[in-house]
This record gives sequence, structure tokens and C-alpha cells, in this order.
Amino acid sequence: MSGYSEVLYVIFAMVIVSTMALNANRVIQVNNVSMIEGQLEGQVIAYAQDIIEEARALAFDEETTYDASGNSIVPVYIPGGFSDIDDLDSGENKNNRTSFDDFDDFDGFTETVDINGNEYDVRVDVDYVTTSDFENYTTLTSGKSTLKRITVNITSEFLNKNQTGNNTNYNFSFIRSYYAD
Amino acid sequence: MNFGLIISYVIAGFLMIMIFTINYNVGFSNQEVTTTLIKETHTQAVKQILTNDIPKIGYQKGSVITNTFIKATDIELSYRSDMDNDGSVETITWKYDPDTTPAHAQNPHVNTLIRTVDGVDTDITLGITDFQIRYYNQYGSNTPMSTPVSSSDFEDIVQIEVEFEMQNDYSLNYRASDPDRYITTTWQKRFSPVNLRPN
Repeated sequence: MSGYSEVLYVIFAMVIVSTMALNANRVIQVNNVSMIEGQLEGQVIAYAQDIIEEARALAFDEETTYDASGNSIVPVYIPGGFSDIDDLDSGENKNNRTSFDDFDDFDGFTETVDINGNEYDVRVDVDYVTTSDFENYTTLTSGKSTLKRITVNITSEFLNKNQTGNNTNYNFSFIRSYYAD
Repeated sequence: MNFGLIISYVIAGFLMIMIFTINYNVGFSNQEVTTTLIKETHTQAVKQILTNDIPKIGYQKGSVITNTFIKATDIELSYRSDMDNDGSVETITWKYDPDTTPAHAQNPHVNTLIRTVDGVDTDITLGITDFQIRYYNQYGSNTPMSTPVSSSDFEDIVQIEVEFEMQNDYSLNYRASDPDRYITTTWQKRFSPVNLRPN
């Protein structure tokens, strides 16, 4: 057994080194994922900001859009005179941002956008919200208010941090007030 | 020398090769991560200057700037803005020079980005390899205006999209015989400056 005992030692050493190799590969993989996720997340934030800035550039409501002279129309009753969130004018199309003329036209807008070879799925929701302390906001299921919240949800198949295996949903919200526009 | 000992030496040789390979791979990966982080920091610096400058296009404290744009091409944007909110208007220019590689650059793809405020140049030589500016006359449009934008169309600009790419300065090759490979980061953002709103 004198010669074969060395073989056993070497096999034992091989098991240890193989474990090291597996760990090292795991570290490398985690490094690569972190590198890529960091870059993609930066792009996700930039795109969500694009949508929010664009929505802010439009009128607050369908009933406060601009007339031919560029003046904002003011409804008689505020907020009762505002439109329902999902109201679209003729000519407006949920899949075409260029047809939007007010903030809540973005509600239900979805698109798949390709940025530098990576695809992102975008979904936008807009709701009327209310608050009593300007810290906590509640979504209104019925009725209207002078506050609207836009939420931009972005997912990508390359951004998956969930244990469930679903893509991570990055959501960014902005609350717009009719009076502090 | 018996058979078992010979086999042991052979296996031990394989083990040594494995250890060296693992060591090299981990070291290379760490180098990639560190370089990416450095590049991300550089990207962040340029992003911060851009997001400070561009949303203020056309702004002036207590007044209105009539001729906002001076030049709008795919590599140069020149405009007026009251950057520091003191009532006086500055002229800001962002210009990408694709033909000037900084003297210190080892990466041949690196060019120079120049930010000019009232004639004072700041060369941004952090590894910019591409810089493009696109202009849109409609919110959400996928079709940019043709460049250079003529002065008669300056008033139509409502959105400005900036896209840039950065690379690290030294080549990161797994093997010496591999072609030069650089860590690349990109960023793209479309700005909707308040003072370019049509209403």
C-alpha cells in the first residue's frame, strides 16, 4: 500500500483544489453580473427620468391643455373638471408617445426599447393621489384630485435579482401638483 | 520508483496547473471589475456635468433668453444659459473632437470632449470614444432632426438626446496574443429642458 497511499493523498488534494476552482468561478461570475447590472441600472434610471421629464413637459390634464394662443385652459371646477385618467383625445394612441398632450396620457403606455443592444420593457401608470401630510400618498380609486402620480416600471431580462426568477421591476415615481407645476 | 508515486506526480502537476489557472482567472476578473468601476466613476463625472448643464438651456433669472441656441450639430451644442442663477447669461459649448487624441492616451480610440463656458475651455480627457447629440422637435419622437440644425429651426427643438461611450486607457487581454480589448461603458439620456417647452 505504500505507493497507493500517495494516490489517495493526491485525490484528496484534488477534491480540495476542485472546491477552490468552483468557488473562484462563482466569484468571477458574481463579479461579471455585478459589472453588467451596474451599467444597465444606470441606463434604467436615465430612461425612467426621460419619461418623467417628458410627461412633465405636457399639460397637467386633458382639460388644461393649451389653446391656439398657447394659453392653458382652466376648467370651471377643480379638481372635478379634470378628465378621467384613461381618457384619450381623438388622434391619441397609447402606443405612440408623440400623440400625447397631457400628463396622464402616459397611463398604460408600454414599449420595448432597445438601448445600446439591450432591451428594456417599459410600463407607465398614472393615478390621482391624495395626501394629508405630503409624506404619505394614497391612490384614489374614484374621484379626482389636484395631484397625479406617474410611475415608470422598467424590467429587463438581464436584470434579475429575484429569488423567484422573475425579472426585477425597477419603478420610479413622480408626483405632480396642478398648483405647483 | 513505483507506479503509484508516478501517478501522484502527474496528478500533482495537473493540480498545480489548475491552481495557477484559477489564480490568473481570479486576478483577471478582479482587474476587469476594478477597471469597470474606475470607468463607471468617470462616466458618472461626465453625466453629472451634462445633467447640470443641459436642463438649464435657455434659462435666465428674471428674464427670457430669446436666442437660446448658437450651434446645434451632432457633435457640437452651443447655447446660452444663466448657469449660476445670477442674472447674467453664459455661453456654453459642448464639443466632441473625434480627431484629437489626448497626448497621454494609450488607447487609440480615445478622443477629446471640450466644455467651454464663456470662452474658457475644459478638456474632458477621461476616455471618451464616442459622443453624439440628437435633437427632436416633438416629444417622444423616434426621428431626430437632421443635423446640423439650421438656425431657423432652433425654436423647434424641444428635446436633446446625448449618447456617449467611454473606454479605459489600457488594453485588457486575457492572452498576450489576443487583439486589444478595452472596457467600454455607454450612457444615453434624452433631456426635455423646461425652457424649450413650446407652451
